[in-house]
Amino acid sequence: MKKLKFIGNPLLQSREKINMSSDKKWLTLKTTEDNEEFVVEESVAIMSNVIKNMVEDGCASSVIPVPRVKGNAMGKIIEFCKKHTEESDEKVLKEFDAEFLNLGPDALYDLMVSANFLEIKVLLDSVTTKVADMIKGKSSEEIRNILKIENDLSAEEIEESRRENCWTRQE
Amino acid sequence: MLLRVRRRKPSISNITKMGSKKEKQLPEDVLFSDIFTKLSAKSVLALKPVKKSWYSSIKNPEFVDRFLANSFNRPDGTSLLLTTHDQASGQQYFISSTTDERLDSRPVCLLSVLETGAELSVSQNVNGMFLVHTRPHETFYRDRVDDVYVFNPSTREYLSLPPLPNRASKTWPGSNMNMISYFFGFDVGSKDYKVVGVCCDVGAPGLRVEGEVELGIFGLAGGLKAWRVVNVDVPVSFNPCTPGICVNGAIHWLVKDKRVILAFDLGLERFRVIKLGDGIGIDTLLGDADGDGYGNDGEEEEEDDDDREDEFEEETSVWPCLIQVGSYLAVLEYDDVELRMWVLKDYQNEQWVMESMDYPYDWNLMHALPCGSSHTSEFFLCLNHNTGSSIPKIVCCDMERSTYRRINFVEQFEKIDSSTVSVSLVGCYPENIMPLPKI
Repeated sequence: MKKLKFIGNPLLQSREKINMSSDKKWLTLKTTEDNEEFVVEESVAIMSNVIKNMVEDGCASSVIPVPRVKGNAMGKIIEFCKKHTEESDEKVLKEFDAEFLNLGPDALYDLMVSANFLEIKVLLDSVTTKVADMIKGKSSEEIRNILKIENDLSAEEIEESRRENCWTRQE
Repeated sequence: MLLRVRRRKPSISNITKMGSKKEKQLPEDVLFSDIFTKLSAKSVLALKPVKKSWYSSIKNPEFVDRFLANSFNRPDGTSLLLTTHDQASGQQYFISSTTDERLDSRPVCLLSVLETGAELSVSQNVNGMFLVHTRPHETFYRDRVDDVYVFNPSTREYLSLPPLPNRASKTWPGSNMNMISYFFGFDVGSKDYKVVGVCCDVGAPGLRVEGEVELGIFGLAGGLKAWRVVNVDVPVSFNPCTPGICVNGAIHWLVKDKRVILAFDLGLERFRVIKLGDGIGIDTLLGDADGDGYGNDGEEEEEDDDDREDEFEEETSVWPCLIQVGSYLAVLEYDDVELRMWVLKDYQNEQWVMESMDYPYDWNLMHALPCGSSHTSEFFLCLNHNTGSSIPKIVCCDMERSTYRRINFVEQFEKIDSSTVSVSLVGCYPENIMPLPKI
């Protein structure tokens, strides 16, 4: 049998090798900010609506560049999507999510922005619920700290605002 | 030879801003669209003093709509509204309770106390907002100004409407002897909440409205801040003291003796008639030979005696009645064995679907009052209405599963001496943070 010679992009070589050996379709996602590459199953990658559209439109034949998402966030996202594609037990997923989202605010925000950008509904729902829980019942000062917001109201304006719905501060 | 790797730009149009470079900030659009919609109304209102721009962002109609829509998905997004009136102090109390099914005994929370003279009527809610108004029979008095409020229990805000322009009676010219029944609805077309006042001349036989009717219409949006008075033809004569139910941008009344539903379209500001399907109320509505207390006794003449008013209201049975179930209109009726609900599943083509369930023998439905429903199509029945009990005996019925469960509230309603006043359930409402206009 004639040995096939692969030339050019070595990554292309290995991807085509994988393609030939299994029926699963694989995609390569490359974060353009830090040039990290991730080889993932298509079924996992299409949890992102954005990637799904690209695949369906037929323009995802090679490496998919993903801007604005850093490598470590991408890694976490793929881990999440993998688990949610493999596992169907609600309870197990809930436990996984709770553990998975046990992150510092910076990492949470990166995840949230990326999930929003890539349109991964399940991940966005989980992260936003977590952030909502973090600010429930907190004072405005505490909320500013958690969400990293600068205070741009004067003391009078704050007082005025509070007086309007003063019952929210009681009970 | 190198193979070219084709680069394609991702087809994304909603690139979110990364915020300021020095501090990693959350993009505001995600905050509002996905995080704040998951909070309770109370928490959202507490966001106002956090950032200047949020004060107005929270009032943004798009955000308000999104928040309302998500209220149905949140476990704490819907609540029950109860009310009671203390004759001695002349105060009306508004109390909320949770719809959490897991609790055996539901806690209650006093929302607000309104200084009023006589007891006020509270209508069914429209998107979480209620109309609180003087009861029709008390609008006769010449030296009184009607109380008409739009109440939002989620924000605890009231909008007090100005009085309807003076309408002289046709029977006794020069006197202000009109009865006004107030109703509340949402005009889907113009996305406006409207209060409708139906004027009934005191001389009208049976206190029914027929022929041409004078209506006062007050829209919350548009900044008009005044009533518009219009004259509209009514296709059937009806008793304006029956409760109105708003669905699909129209207010509906059940006209029992004509076996129809009268609908007032809030957009077109016209009446039309919806026929009841065959079989609806066959045993229970007048128009059948029955006539034994089921159905409208509205042919009675109104007497001037004050006590007679209460009697009149009680004599007219509430059954069969119109209720809202989910987003549909339905007619609820009962006989010795079962409760029947006829749902108007196809509004345009007037197609009805019947569901029924058996009920326990110890329910005396003659004294029962339907009080609203949840968005999951369960409806509430108060089993001890007008029997003098202070705490309402409420059951929540699920027609689809033919099941019901009892709803218990904690015994003590704080700040209210429940031994002297009687608390009633108004209905179930979603949280809505819509600000009420200032007048």
